[in-house]
Formats: sequence, C-alpha cells, structure tokens
Amino acid sequence: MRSPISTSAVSSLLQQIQDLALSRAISQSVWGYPIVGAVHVLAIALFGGAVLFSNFSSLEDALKLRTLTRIGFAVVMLTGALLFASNAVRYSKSLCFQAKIVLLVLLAINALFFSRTRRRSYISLGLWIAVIFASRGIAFF
Amino acid sequence: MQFLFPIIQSIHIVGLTLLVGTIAIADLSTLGFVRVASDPAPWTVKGLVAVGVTGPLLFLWDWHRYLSNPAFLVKMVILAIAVITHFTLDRSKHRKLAAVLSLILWSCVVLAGRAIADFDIRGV
Repeated sequence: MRSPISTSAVSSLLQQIQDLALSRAISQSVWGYPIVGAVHVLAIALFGGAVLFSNFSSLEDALKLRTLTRIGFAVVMLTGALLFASNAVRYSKSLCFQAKIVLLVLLAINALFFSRTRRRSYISLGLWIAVIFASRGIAFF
Repeated sequence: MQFLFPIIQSIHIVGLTLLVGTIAIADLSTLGFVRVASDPAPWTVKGLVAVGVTGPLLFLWDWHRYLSNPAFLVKMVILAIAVITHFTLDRSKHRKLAAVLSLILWSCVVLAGRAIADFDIRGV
C-alpha cells in the first residue's frame, strides 16, 4: 500500500521551506545563523532554568515563573524554527534531529497530559538532558 | 575517544542551562519581576560544578584551537568581568545594579559561547 504522503512531496516541501527568502537570509548571510543560533541557546538556558526550577519548587513559584517560561518557550520555538528552515533538507535527514523532535513530543506530552508529581519532574529533567544531547549531536552526526 | 567530545559539550550545555537559567531567576527576583519564595542557588551551584568541570576539559582537549578562536577569547573576557563583578560589587548597596549587570554579562557569556562554533576553523 502506498503512503498517502509521498516522499518526493515531503522533500520538495522541505526544499521550498529552505528556499524561502527568510530561510536564505539566515543561511546565506554572514551573521544570520550565528545570531539566531546564539539567541536559541540563550533562550534555552532561560527557559530550561525556569522550567527546571518550576518543576522542583512550589506551585506558587511555578505560577510566578509562568510569564518567563512562556516568553522563553516562544523564543526557543521561533529561533528553532528559523534554524530548521535555513537548512531544512539537511536537518530532516539527521538522525539526531529526528530523535530530538521525538524527544520534544514526549516532553510536550509529559508537560500537558500528566499532573504535577515528583515523577513527572524527574521525567521532564531526563527528557531535557536527552534533548540537549540530541541537539549537540546534530552538529556531529 | 572522539565520541566523548560531544558528550562533554552536552553536559556543558546542561550545566549552563542550570547555571544561567537560575542566575536569571535570582536576578529577575531582585529586580522585582518575579518574586520566588524558594532559593534557586542550589541549582546554580550544581550548574557551576558541571560547567566548571566540563569547560576546562573542552579547552584542554584542543587548547590551541580555542586560543585562535575570537569568540572564545571574547567569552573569556566577559566571563572574567562577570566573575570579578560578582565578587567585588557590594550587593548591599547596589542590589539592582548588580542584578542588571549579572543578567547582561551572563547572557553575553552564553551568546559568545555559542559563537565559538561559528568561528571554529574546523567548522564543527
């Protein structure tokens, strides 16, 4: 049975994403990728620190950090999407990138569908560490 | 042995997330943006230990490669300023100034740290 989404349709979509003016502005300029990449990592530090602290402190503290967590999340996702778009074909083929996306989905499921327990906090911490390992791996594998 | 390098780098990034993420919470708390009840310092210390061990390891792995990297040199200068500021600025008199400087300096350390990869002659 043939898949309803053909492989060639997916790869042509990825190529189109990569050819967008915005994507090319990042991949072809000298400072585009370094700046977006640096902001991505800084936002991860702020977002990750806030999520971790929220997980392991009181609910009141977690609620106070919600604005910081939301801003951090938005910046991480935006810069991450821009970095992906700048080189969509290569990233989508990277095994580490694919693993990262799977781990991010698991992290989202853990955060959205489970109640605030000690166990959830440790699963979140473990997944965060795994996401960072997979992300670093993209540069090497 | 070569596979160890990305592993140590990953631990370094986990550590900097703990370190800088919780420093930011403490600074934003001082500035009144978020008033958290519990102290983030234990996590900051864990992060500090992680980057304190992995940072020098990464440097010693290929020290001449780092010394010829402008982003690394900029990072070390900003890091030195951040550390000197942390230990010399009187927080009882200049609480808010110390928090603003800490936020800016540690953010710049992370930005310059990430840029090391972009200025690497081997292009990793």
